[in-house]
Amino acid sequence: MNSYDAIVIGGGIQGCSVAYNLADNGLKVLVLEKDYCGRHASGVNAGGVRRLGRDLRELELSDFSMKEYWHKLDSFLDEDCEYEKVPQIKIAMDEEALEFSKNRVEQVKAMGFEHEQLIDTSTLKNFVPDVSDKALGAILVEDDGHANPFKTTVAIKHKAIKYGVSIREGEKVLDIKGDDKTSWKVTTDKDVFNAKYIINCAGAWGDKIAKMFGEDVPFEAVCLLLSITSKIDLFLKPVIGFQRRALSLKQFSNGSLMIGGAFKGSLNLETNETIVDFTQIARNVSNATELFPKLKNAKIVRSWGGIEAICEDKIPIISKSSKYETVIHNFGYSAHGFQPAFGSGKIVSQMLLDQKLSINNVDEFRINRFV
Amino acid sequence: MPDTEIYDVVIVGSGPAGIQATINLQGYGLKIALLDDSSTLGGHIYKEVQKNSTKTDFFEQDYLKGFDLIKQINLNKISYINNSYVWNINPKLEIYYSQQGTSYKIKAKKILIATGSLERPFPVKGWTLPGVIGTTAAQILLKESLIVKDDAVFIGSGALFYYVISQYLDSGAKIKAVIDTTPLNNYFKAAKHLPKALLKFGFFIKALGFFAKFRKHKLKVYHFVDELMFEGDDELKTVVFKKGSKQVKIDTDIAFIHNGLAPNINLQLQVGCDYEYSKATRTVNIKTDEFMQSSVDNIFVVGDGKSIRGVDVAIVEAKIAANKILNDFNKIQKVTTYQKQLKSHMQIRDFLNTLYLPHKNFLSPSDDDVIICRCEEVTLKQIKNGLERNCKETNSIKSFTRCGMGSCQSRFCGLTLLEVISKHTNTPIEELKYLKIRSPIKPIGIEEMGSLVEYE
Repeated sequence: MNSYDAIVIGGGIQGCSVAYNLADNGLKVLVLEKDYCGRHASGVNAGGVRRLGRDLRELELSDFSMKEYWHKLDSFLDEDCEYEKVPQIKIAMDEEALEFSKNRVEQVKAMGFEHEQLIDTSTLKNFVPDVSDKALGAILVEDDGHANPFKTTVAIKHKAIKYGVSIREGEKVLDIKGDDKTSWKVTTDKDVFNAKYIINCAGAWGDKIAKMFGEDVPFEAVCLLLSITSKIDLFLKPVIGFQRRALSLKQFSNGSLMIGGAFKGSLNLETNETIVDFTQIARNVSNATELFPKLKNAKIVRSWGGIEAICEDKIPIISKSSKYETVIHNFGYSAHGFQPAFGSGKIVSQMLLDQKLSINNVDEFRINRFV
Repeated sequence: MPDTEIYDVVIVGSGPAGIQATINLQGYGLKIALLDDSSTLGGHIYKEVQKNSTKTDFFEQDYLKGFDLIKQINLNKISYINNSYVWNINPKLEIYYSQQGTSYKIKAKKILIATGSLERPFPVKGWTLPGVIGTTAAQILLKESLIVKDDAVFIGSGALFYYVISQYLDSGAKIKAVIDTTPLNNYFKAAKHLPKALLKFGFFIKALGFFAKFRKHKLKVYHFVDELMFEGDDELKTVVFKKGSKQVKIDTDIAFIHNGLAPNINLQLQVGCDYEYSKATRTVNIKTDEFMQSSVDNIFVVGDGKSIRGVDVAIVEAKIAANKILNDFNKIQKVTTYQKQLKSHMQIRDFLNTLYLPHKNFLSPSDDDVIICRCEEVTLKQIKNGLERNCKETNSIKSFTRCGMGSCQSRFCGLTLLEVISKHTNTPIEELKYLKIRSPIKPIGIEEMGSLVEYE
């Protein structure tokens, strides 16, 4: 009864997406989630559906996920995820940032992708009339967007369940034993399970799972700070970034804004506790008011720290284990794994079942680059 | 760059518990700060008592004795930082607060939290209409500016409820009606705690005095009401309730409601203090040891901000915590736990808790349209929808429905949400987690927070 074809460890958007794809291929799949689905980075991230500014090595994956899934979200998911297809814009406020933006757009074009374009101040003002007069230009991606991360995770979870996936929440993996020839025995704090395949989608805890297979990954869990403002008049449709500076900013349809941008708090991974450093939040919001002076009148309603795992080279691990054919690692998205998740779910399932991959560039994601 | 001021002890809240702790800690050479969001000492219970201390015909003795307590504070020996709202504390004992539009960061070696109580939500249909106001707000109005509203309807139950009505009558206000929601059954249940409670006969004499006063003023009182709602389009027009089998309607533009008190716990929870659900009071209380130490090192929690036990217990708890702190700083050798005093003051609590436990209809609404979360306007129906969508954990309901995400940080919905989840998932309420509380615990202006850029 406790035997499965595949056990996915981690019930975030990655784990649920992988589980759905495997079930779609006829496998009997179990997802083990130590808290509840979407409790961590998947559920509380900034919800950016973004190709803009992606690391060039993950551009193809991101573009695949966008075109195959996000742009067809209505037919892919049954539930409302508050997804909105809106522009993402990264603003340059000084000459150096503008020069960087020009080079960036050329690099992306040289790789055959057309979504990023450089825009001047007057075009920028058309998209965001309230932007500071000091802005010099920006990179624009017209058909990126944003979504409610928790609702999106819940929606893909329900899709997985609909395809027959079993999900056990509040169950923590303690030990994994076995090898390619026999099956894997997974012991949790409540039960024991068997499966032929293991897929590690454990997010910020992914390195701990990798270690159970004897694989060490240079990996740092960090606490990334986000803040929500009070509701103000709607003035911002696109999602805004600040080139060469830390800021991401978007306004929800209810009028409140989310301010983020890689400012860090401290965290304790054993207890899941994060400590918000408000001197950092103050720096974060002052970046936001520099771009949009009208934000000075808003209030901060709540701030929190999300636990994210950053790989040494800031791109994920999406590959078979270096030691076992029946184990796949899919984690370490370094704080930008929300948008690619649907695409990676597909790729991981193709890897596991030795099918032809939908994208070409996956070598950069191998775990071998570390171990 | 300003230096972060470091204190030996920071006391948050200048109600009776915060004041008593300050009194017991002053004079030992410790660097002490006392912070409170109001401009004067006393908290809610002794609000403006210094100003009102001579109005003996208007205010009664239980209130005026707060003046004697406050007199004992030596403001030359401590830093009294008034008008300051503490909106974040972290386990490193860093404290962030705002005062007159500017935010500050200070540090402490010990923190004592005495944030007192707030009113339990009263989730019935129409409870968010303008004109429906908490009874404590009525009391604050009276103490701050001697203002009373004529022709109000008082709706609710509890010791504080009758106390405020009595104060209103004393002030000469006209009261349209009192709708008493104390369930009949509670009187029978409370009876078994009566013998012990009678030891505090002073309380009963006071209570009898209230009811005699109500009769003297020919107050219209409806008893044992267990169904009610508020009607009106943009503001309150009518209170509708059931008296036996018949429906009664009272037109009014102001209703003071009171559904009992709950600990004001947001500051404690956001720093990570352990909590426990009390079925006796149906509130979330903060756990401490016998010395009032919370689960977070060097953070003490006392008074109604820990669990609702009233002013006398709060004062004893403050003494215990102060003792332990002095001992930790090697200022005194022995720690007293005041067990006898504590026990004496506790005698009446079981009786009061049982008698004034709200009716289940006023803990967990059954009408789908009732608003549970007023900030984000989340209805019972939306919560039930979330539960059906397989989000059964308190915080996943929060993520899914936005219940508790608004600017009040779940002060007005947290307890109701627990009741609703427990009822609809058949989970014992004490097994549910409470909502994760984020900081700032009150909205802070972006410009106001800007001053923090200066700190390291």
